Amino acid sequence: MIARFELRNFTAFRNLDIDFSPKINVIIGENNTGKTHLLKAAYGIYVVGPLLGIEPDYDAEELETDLTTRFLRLFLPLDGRLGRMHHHGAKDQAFLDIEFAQGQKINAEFSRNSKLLKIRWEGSYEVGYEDVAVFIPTKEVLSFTKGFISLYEKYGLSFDHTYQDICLRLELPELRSETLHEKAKWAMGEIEKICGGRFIFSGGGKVTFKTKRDEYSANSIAEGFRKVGMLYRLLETGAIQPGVSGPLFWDEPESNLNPKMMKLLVQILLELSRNGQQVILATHDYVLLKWFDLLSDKGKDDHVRFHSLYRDTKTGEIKISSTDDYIEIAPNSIDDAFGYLIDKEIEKDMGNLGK
Amino acid sequence: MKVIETDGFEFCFTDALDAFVFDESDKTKPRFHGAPMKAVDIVAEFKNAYVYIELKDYDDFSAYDMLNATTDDEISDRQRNFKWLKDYLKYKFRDSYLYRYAEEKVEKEVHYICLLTFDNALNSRMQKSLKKELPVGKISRRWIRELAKSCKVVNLEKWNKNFPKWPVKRLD
Repeated sequence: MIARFELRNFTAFRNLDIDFSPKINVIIGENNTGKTHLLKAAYGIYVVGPLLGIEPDYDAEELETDLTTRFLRLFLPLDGRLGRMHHHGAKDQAFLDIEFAQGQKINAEFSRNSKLLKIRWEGSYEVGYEDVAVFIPTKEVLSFTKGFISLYEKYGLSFDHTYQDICLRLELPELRSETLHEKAKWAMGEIEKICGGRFIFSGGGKVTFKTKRDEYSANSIAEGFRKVGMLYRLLETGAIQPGVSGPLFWDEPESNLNPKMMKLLVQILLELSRNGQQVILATHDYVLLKWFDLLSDKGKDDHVRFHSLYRDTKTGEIKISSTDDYIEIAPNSIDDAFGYLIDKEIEKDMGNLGK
Repeated sequence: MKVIETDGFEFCFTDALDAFVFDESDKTKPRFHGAPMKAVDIVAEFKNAYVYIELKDYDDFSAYDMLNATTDDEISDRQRNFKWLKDYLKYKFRDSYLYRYAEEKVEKEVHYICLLTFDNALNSRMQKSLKKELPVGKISRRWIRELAKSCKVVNLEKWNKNFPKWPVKRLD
């Protein structure tokens, strides 16, 4: 679980410091304010915790090589150069610092000419950090999982590493029923109900959709169903296991999703968070944002923190404003989009009146 | 410049020919409303237009947000609340227009602005419904003129951004 994340001179960020909720974190912001970069950076560096959890004596040099490769594959910088991820115009080192809920810290730094990330860490990861984080990228993957993993290993595809990671997680075998978390079972049941069937994974990325009467190719099923089908499978394999797995990062859950499915999705995420699952997601969608506000229940100890990324008008730097209260989100790029429409309508219908 | 104080807000109409509390309930005031009709809060007159203004200050706007209602009961509650508010704003406009007709004060185009303390998304939704039902524009071929030229639903921030000549502030 991530408690705090600091980024300095990294890609779009000059200096950013975020305190994460242990439960639900919703990141909003206009395009080009770094939402996806923030998710990927936290996801990228988080992996060090589980690696050290499994192998406390991990060779530092090997770790740096592995993490550098991982970052390059996550961000796909021009020319495959680490220095391209250095904040444009910054003189100091790029620096990422993650603090875990139990106080451990990992940081990575590099300069414009670095070939490798320099990694440092504090604290022990031997207990409770074995399980990796999950990153669900914007596009659904069930329509192209067949053969994707081996193709990705062999060729330089235009997909970042989150797609490879998610396909690997989906390929895991199912947990035994008795080890499935009760809330995971509940969520899977709800997803099956709303989709009218379930996705079946037969290995090698082969995915079909099975109803009571028939079986179909995953490609012939609605994209929104394939999107929630990914969540179903991640629960089925235990890649997402409340109280055990690392944070769930989800970039734009709303893409491909029917707005009517948003409520269920938010209900599931809240329920998972009540059982120890940290969720960090980025969204552009008003309905998704509002569902978090409306469905969260203080009586159930829900905690939703809204983080708004914005560009400072004077310095052009990316800043962050965080609040636990929906109405206090400022700036609110999602509601501002509705406000812009209101401005244009006033201009059109009222001309110069009042101006 | 006309300064109007009503329902905890102060409006400054810097370019108005006239502006007054339309629903005046004080019998001693010269512009006492005095008719058994609904009434908007303020009417302001400009060179080529009248602007009717209705304001509602809500602490909790979620009571009207039916798009995001969570249970069937909540959906019907919020639908009821949303419809109630929409009807309330609609009939206030229509009665005010009739009253002004009787005053022979409808010769200029009429704009209706509702100042609600909702977010922009919910205001957009209210505006859409209200425009349809007022109605705005000449909606019948038989109509020679329109009742309302436009209808806008805005919050305080949007008001001040779009109408800089009519600044409004909340009174302490």
